[in-house]
Order: sequence, then C-alpha cells, then structure tokens
Amino acid sequence: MAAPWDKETLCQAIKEDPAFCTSCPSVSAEILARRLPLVKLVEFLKDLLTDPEPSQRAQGILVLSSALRDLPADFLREDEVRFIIEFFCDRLKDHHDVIPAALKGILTIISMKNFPKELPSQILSTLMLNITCQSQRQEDRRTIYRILDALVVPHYEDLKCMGPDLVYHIITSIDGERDPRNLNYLFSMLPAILRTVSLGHLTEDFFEVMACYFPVDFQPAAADPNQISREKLAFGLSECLTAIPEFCEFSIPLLLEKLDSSLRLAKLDSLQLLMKGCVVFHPNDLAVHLIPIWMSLSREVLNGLDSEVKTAAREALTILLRNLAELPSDVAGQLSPMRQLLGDVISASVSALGQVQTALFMPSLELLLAAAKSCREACQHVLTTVFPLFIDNFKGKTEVGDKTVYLCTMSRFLAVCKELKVTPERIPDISVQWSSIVQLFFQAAKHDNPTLRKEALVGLTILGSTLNEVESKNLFNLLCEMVDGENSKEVRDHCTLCLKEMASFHSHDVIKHVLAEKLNITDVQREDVRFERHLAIQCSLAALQPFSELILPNVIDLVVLSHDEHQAVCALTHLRVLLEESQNSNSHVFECLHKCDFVLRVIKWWFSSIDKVNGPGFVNSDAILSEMCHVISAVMRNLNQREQTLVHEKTEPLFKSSTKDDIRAVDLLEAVLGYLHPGVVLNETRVLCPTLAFIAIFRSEPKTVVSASRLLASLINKIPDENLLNEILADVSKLQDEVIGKDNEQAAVQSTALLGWVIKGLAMRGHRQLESWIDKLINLVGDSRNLIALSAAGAFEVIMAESPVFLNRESYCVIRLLYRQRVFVGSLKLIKTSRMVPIEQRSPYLMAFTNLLSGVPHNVLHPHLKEVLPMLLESLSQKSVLLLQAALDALRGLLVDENFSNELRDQIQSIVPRLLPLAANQDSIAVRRMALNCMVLLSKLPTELLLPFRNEVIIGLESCLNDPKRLVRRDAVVALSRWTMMDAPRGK
Amino acid sequence: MTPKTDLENINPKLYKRTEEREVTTKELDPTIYDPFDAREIFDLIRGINDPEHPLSLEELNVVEERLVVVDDARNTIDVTYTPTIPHCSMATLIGLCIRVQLLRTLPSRFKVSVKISPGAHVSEEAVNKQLADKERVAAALENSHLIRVINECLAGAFTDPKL
Repeated sequence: MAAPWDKETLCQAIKEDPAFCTSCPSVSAEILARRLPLVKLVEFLKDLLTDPEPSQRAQGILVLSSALRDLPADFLREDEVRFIIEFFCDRLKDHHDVIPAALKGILTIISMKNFPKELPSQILSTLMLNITCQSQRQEDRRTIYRILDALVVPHYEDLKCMGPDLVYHIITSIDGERDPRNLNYLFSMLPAILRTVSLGHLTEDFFEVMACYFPVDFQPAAADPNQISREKLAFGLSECLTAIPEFCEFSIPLLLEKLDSSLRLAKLDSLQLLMKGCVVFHPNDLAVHLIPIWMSLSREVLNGLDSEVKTAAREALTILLRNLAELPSDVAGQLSPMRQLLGDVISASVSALGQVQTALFMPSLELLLAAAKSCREACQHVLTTVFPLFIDNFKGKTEVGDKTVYLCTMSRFLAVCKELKVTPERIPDISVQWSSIVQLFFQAAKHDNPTLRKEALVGLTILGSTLNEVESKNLFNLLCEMVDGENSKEVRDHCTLCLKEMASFHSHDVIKHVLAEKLNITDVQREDVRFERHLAIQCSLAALQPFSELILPNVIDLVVLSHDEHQAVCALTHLRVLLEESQNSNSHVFECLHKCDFVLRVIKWWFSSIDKVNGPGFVNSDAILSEMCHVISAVMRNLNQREQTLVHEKTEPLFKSSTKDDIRAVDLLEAVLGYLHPGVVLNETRVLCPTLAFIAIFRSEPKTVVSASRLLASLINKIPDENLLNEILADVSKLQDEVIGKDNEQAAVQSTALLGWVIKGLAMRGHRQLESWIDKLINLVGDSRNLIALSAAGAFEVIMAESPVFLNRESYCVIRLLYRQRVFVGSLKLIKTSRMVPIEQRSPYLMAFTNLLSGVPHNVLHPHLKEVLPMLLESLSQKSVLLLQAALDALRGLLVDENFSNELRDQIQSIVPRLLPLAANQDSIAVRRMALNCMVLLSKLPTELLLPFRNEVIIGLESCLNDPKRLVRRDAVVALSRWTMMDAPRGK
Repeated sequence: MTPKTDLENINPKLYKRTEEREVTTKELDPTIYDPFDAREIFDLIRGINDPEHPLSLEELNVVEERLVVVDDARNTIDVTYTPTIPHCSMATLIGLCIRVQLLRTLPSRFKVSVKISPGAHVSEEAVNKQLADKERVAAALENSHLIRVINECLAGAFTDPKL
C-alpha cells in the first residue's frame, strides 16, 4: 500500500503532475477509508488555496473538487455539504482564473445526497450575481449548463421561492450561445426544464431565446470528432420549440414565416416543427392559426416542386387534422375547426379531380388522401362527399385510361377506409353508398379492357372483408368465371390474389364451393386450358394453412400417376412456384409435403418409369427432370436434420439399385444431397466422390458435368473427417493428373474446370492445402495448349463467385470468413508469373486475373490495388473481346465503389487513353457500350481532376455519335452529355 | 382560397411518358446498320425539363414522336414542337433548349431544323426565324445567363445507363 498522503507529498504531486489536479483517486480512497479526514486535506491545501497567485488557488480548488467527485454521493453530512458549497460559491467572487475550478467544484457537490433545501436557490443567486455566463469559455459555459440541468428539475420545489428570477436567470445564461456542442447539450436538457418550470410572463422571452436558431444553419467540419450534425441540432431545437403547449402562439407564426422561404431545408424544418407541434399543442390554440397554416400547406402540396417537401406537408396536414379532431364536433350550428379545414381541403382539391391528365390531379388526390388518413370522421366525410364525384367521373368518362385512374383512386381511398375501420359493419350510415361502390367494382370487373378488370380486382381484394354474404357469393362466382374465361395472365394473377384474400377469412366457403366444385382438377380434361388454371389456383391456395393438407396430396398424385408429360410438368411447375413463394415463411407447406413422403414418391416414380422397358416415354423429358430437381431441392432445403436423414435413408437404395445407367440421375442426386445438413451421415461418400469426378471429366452432357462438379465441391466442403477428405482428394488429384498428361484434350479441359470446383469447395472450408491446389491451377494457366489455359483462367470465375446454388450458407456449406481474401492473396502470384512470359502469351494470365478481380470483395482488393491496376490496364489494351469485357467489367466495379476514388484519381491519365479507343472498338458492341458506361462512371470523379481530359474525351466521343449501332449511340450520348455538362454553368 | 403562384399555366395537362425503347434482335446484330429514326431523335429531347414546371417536355406534350421527321440518307432532321399555351413566353427558350440538345448529341452530318407547330403560338413566325438563324443562336449561347438556364433544363435529360 502506498504511504498515506501528507502535506509535502501532496504539494509535490500537484507540482510534478498537472493531471493530478483533475484526477486523484488515491486521495479520495484515503478519505473514504477515513485515513485522511476532509479537514486535514483542506489543511494540506491551505498554502495553495491562499496563494497570492490565482492559478495556484485554482489548482488547489481543482484538487479539492476532484477528490470530492470520486466520493460516494452519501459520504458527506448535510453541514459538510453546506460548508463546502459556501466555500465554492465564495470562490466565484475570486479572480476569473479561479472561477472554472469553482464551477467544477459546485457541479461535483450538487449531486451529493444530503443536500440542504435552501442551497439550490443560494447557488443560483450567487451564480447570477457573480458570473456572466456568455463571457466564459466554452467548457465553463457547459459546466454552468450542467449545474442548471442538475439543479432545476430535481430541486424545483426548493427553487420555487425564486419566482420569475429563476426563469430570468436561465434565459440570461443561455442567451447568445453559439457553440454547436453547447447548443446540442442545451437542446437536450431544455425540454425537461421547460416542462417543469412555470414560465409565466417570460414565456415569449424564453421562446425567442431559442427561436433565433430556427431553422438551424450549420455545416459540421469534415472530420468533426464530436459528430454533431445539422439534423441532430435541428431535431433538438424542434423538441425545445414544441416542449410545452404554451409555445403554440409563437411557434406557428415562426414556422409559417420560414415555410415561405425558398430554402428547401427551411421548409422541411418548418414542416417537421409543425408536425411535432400538432402532437403537443392544444387544438384550440392551433385552430386560431388555421387559415394561414392551410394557405401555406396547400401551396406546398399543390404547387411545390420538391417531392420531399410535398410529402412532409401532407403528413403535417394529416397530423393537424388528427389533433383538431379532438375538439367537440360542430357546436351550436358552427362547424368545428376540423370540419372547416376539411372543407377547405375538399374545395381546393375537387376542382382538379375532373381532369385526370392535368398536373394538379395527382397532388390534389394525394392531398385528399392525406386528409382522409387523419381520423375516422375525416375519412367518412371524404367518403360521403368526394366518392360520388369519383363515381360520376368514372361513369362519365369514355377513355379507358381515365376510368382506370378513377378506379385506382377509389381503391386507394377504400384501403384507407379499411385501415381506419370506416366500413358498413362499424358505421351503418354508409352501407348504401358502400354497396353501390361494390357494385361499381363488380361492373368494372366485367369490362372489356383487361387493365380495368385488373384494377377492379385490386379494389375487390381490398373490399373483400367488408362484403356481405350475397356479395361474397357473387365475388366467388365472378372469380371462378374469370379463372376459366379470362385471357390476360395479369388479370388471372390478380384473381388468384383476390381469391387468396377471400380464402383467408371464408375458408369454409372456398373449400366447399370453389375447390371441390368450380375450380376442381378432377373433372376437367387434361388438355383443357382450364386444367392448368385450376391447378395454378389450387397450388397458390395451398400456401394457406387449412388448404395445404387438402390440396398437396392431390397434386403429388397428379405427378406420380400422370399419363402424359403435360400433366406432370404442370403439377411440378406450380408446385415449384408455391415452394419458391413459401420459402422461409410457410413451413406448414413443407411439413405437409414431408408427411406425404413427397421426395421418395417422386424419385421412385421417375426411376420406375425410366427403368421400365415399356414405361411411359415422356418421363425422359428434360423439363420434367429440371422441375423435379427444383422442387426436390426446395423441399430438402426446408427440412430439419432428422427429416433429411429419413429422406436420405429411403432414397439412397433407389439410386444404388437403379438398373439403367441413366446419367441424368446425377441431377436428381444433387437435388437430394445438395442441401443436406452436415450432421446427416453419408456412408457412400468415399465411392461417390471419385465417381462424380469421373463423370465431370469424361461425360459430354454440359448440365450433368456442372451438376457432378458442383455436388463434388459441396461434398468436399462438408466432409467432417479430414482423413477421408485427404483420401478423396488424392484420388481426384491422381485422376486429374493422368487426364491432363494425356492427349485427350476435351477431357483435360473438363478436368481443369473441375479443378476450379474442387478449389472452391476447399477454399470455402479453409483447407490447409488450398495454396498448393491454387498453384496447380496457376500452372495450368501457363499451359501451352490454349484451350486448357483458358479453361484454367475461367476456373477462377467459379472460385470467386458469390454463393452459387448448393454452395452457400443455406445449403449448410462450411464457409470461412475471408476465404476469398485467402484465394486472392494466394493467386497474386499470377502477376509475377505473367511478367515472366512474353507479351503475346499473357492473355490467359490476364483473363484469369480479371476473373479473379470480378469476385474479390472490394475491401480485400483495396490494399492490393497498386499491384492490380497495371494488370487491369494492360488487359484493356488487349485484343481478345472476352478479356476486354471481363476487364471493363472489373474496371466498372472499381469505378462504382467510392472507396477507390482516391486510388483511381491518380490513374485517370492511364484510363482515359485506353477507354477512348475501346469506345470505337470494331469487334464488339458490348465492349463499346461498356467502355462508354465506364466513361459515364469516370465523369463522377472530382471535376477538377477530369477537366484536363475533358476536351480530349469530348472530341473522342463525338465520333461514337455516328456509330452504326443504335444502342452504342444511346450510351455515347449519355457519356458525352455527362462530360459536356461537367463544368458547365447551371441554375436559374 | 387558392394560393398565389407566379406560374403562367398553373394546371397544365399531363401526358404519359413513353416506355423505354425495346431492344430488338436487329439492334443486337453487329452486322446490321441501325438508321437514325424519329424515335431515336425523340429520345434525345423528350427528357428535357420545362423551364417552368418540374416536368419534362414529353409529359407536357411539347414534343411528340410524330412531330419528328428524320431522313437519315439525306442527313436532315426536322423537329416541330407545341408550347402548352399560345402566349407562352418560354417558347423561344424551349426551342433553344431543343436546338442545343440536338447540336450536342447528333453527329455533325445532320442539318437540323426546330420549329413551332403551325398555329400553336402567337408569335410563331418570329420564334421560328430566331431559331433558324445560326448567328442568333450562337449569340444566345454566348449569353451567360441564358446558357445557365439552358444547361439546367438539359441536365436531367438522360438517366444513367443501367449497370
């Protein structure tokens, strides 16, 4: 333990270490342990505290306040607190150098527990008498604010005796504050003070002290350590200006004045203030300002230019109406303020609602919608007064486009009505009107025009839950007729949506009348177009809980008992659509399919059908196989480990005992095994992997080759046993070496491609030997046989690809963090190796490299950009179209990312001369277009760097305007206009 | 209570924007020459902003595809435009914007004429004469205020190509 403090050691410590004054926990610890009485400490500090030099006195006070700060809040007795406070307050009369320390001392003490009642007012009075807050330094002003914060709200009862002096003191302290850090603090503490203290006749003065900052005009320094933003200040200020209802009479004129400004930010801030005010202020106070508020809001909503301001103005109107709705409705024959405002809104908007094509139509409509959204009363009023107009216009117009707009408009209003529960169920008064609207939508659904029919269905979907029994029945009939007779697919899709919505609350009726009767799949001919439509509807209804178990078994039967390709493909396709939509949401669909043994039954059916000598020939169709694979993998993906194990155990014998050597079983096998949980035990891996490698190298069917390679990569990635993995890798490697050494070039090319997949699997799991496998691939890039070299270069694309099917987290692959970084760093040798070969043989290296670049996460690429860019620029000077495309794609990726702008700005002089000839490249449209797109992206770099190249680029691009291909000309026009506009003077 | 505004035509009629031109197989074939046609020229000018409203010339129906006549072989392009109201004071400025846009985005082999649709404006003849006079157009472009306004109208004419 350190020696106890005495006078000498303490003075020594203060002299030697300036930081000791602000932090001396050892002193506090001794006081706390009662080894150093407080009186003794003061005695030790006596010389300092009474020193003729002010800075010395300040140091003494600082030590005292630091020591007190670290004591527990209840350590000091009441008389001790009183004595110390009196001492600190006394110091406020001292030299100005001493004041900061005294303020700190006061701040420390006021958080103590045993705080005498009379002290708060005493402290504030002394502060008021002796300190002019705004003449202090920033941090001292901050201390004063903190003292106010700590005193006013917690001790308000004790401060009441000060009366208006308290408010006056707060006002004079904060008046004129300019530092954003302090303002930020003030804005966060003032609302609580405002809500506690009664302001009396000083209300307006207090408001004005804060109002002078509105709207906040502040631009933070580029690297501001305090992270104070304009938004933060503006938010804080608006909280203060709307802290109490009494501010209404000052806030509203202020915000209306600023709303008149042409500055966008002023408008937005004013509207934010209005929105906040409408929540806090009393409706009666707001009602006084209704006319000017409406004038300003309507101007912004109807004639404003900025969409964000328009949206904010509409939101403000909604909140304002909601607030006004709290007042009692129409008293003594006089309209309530809410009704008055609503009347103004309606009269201002209806005049523009007669002509769909005018500029004011949409703004007026949005205005009405905003009003309707506010409350039920407003919504009902809009419904009863404006809807007849919509209906008349809808009926009166002859143009289908106009009719559609009105129908669409009504749907939007009906959605609001539904949300606010303004429905005949709740408000019987509107039932007559409601049913006429429903009839209108029914009529529209039978119109000749498909767009109109579609919009009608959208409306009926919204109305669905409000229909009575007869109407519901009519709707069911209508929907069933449309499913059978409708020609437009889009309309039928909306039919499905509407039926699904209806089914969610009329499930019984749908099961009884729709599924079993009108839209059944058993009574229709397979060739009939209705069969597929009924099937589609049924499958999409199967997403709903009660329907899954009813529908799915039938659909499975349709597949396994099918007599022709059409039926099987139809059933599988719609099942796939259902599963894709149900992904991650409707687990009951997958549970149901699992219960029906779906995977086993379909695979069994497929094998038994193709094995039979006289089996149905249609099963060989590619369409069936591909749909099967999709559906099986979707189901497998959503099963848990136990269920997957069951399926695997049941299906494995089928694959083994398949008598006919049909190579396409690989696709199915991948569908079953691709999404397996790593915990599912696979006994056959040891045999399966070399077989897959063999298929990938020697078979000629491209789809099967990819399936086999991908499955092999997935298995290699997931094998838990290292020894087993090494055995398999040795086998695969041996097979590949043999093939590549021999004359069969096609097999060697496929083997090289397979190498890419193997590396992908190994890289993802972070295998130890990854680097040696990558080296093997890099060697092949230098192979003298061009096809093999290009195949090796292409393999890098596979390796770097981001989560391809079956090789991602959903398929439970092992994915190490930063694995692509490891591949990238391991492959950087490409740069060195390529420099050693003659320029004319570099193409495969550059190709490999650009493929590598396309998949590297940009944060990984960042530190290596200096090595990478020369390779990329060299690629841009090559002739091979494939290489140029890959290189331009990589360059485009770099240009899009803002993080690279610093590195790229030094390279503009190298990039521009390479891009310009590419924009006129004779060989490929794609190269020309990509080069032009890069030019557009390049133009987004800082203008001052681009200006030296501007004329060169404009002259270079002008020839592209006469390109023989229209698509190129279009891109050239955009690029040229960006470079022409770059430094051009603009504005009105 | 309708708010006051300084706009000449407060509630103009709006027209639908044409969909993006669909890419045909011919356009993807590198061996075929795609001639300049009316739609291509229309695409160059339809996105120009109206000097008054935050709307494009297409949405205000000031320019229309049917009013563009192109003869690729003879290198001529005639564009006719229709101001929203016959006494529109912006008519000359709009014409100038169209002219400048075509000047900047077409190969120099074309001879371009920009005119007001017959009968669509009170001072049609004067405006047409002004727009056809190369010297006066060049002089207008020297005017720093005018070129600012024109650039502002042309700035948003093209969206970035989709990547």
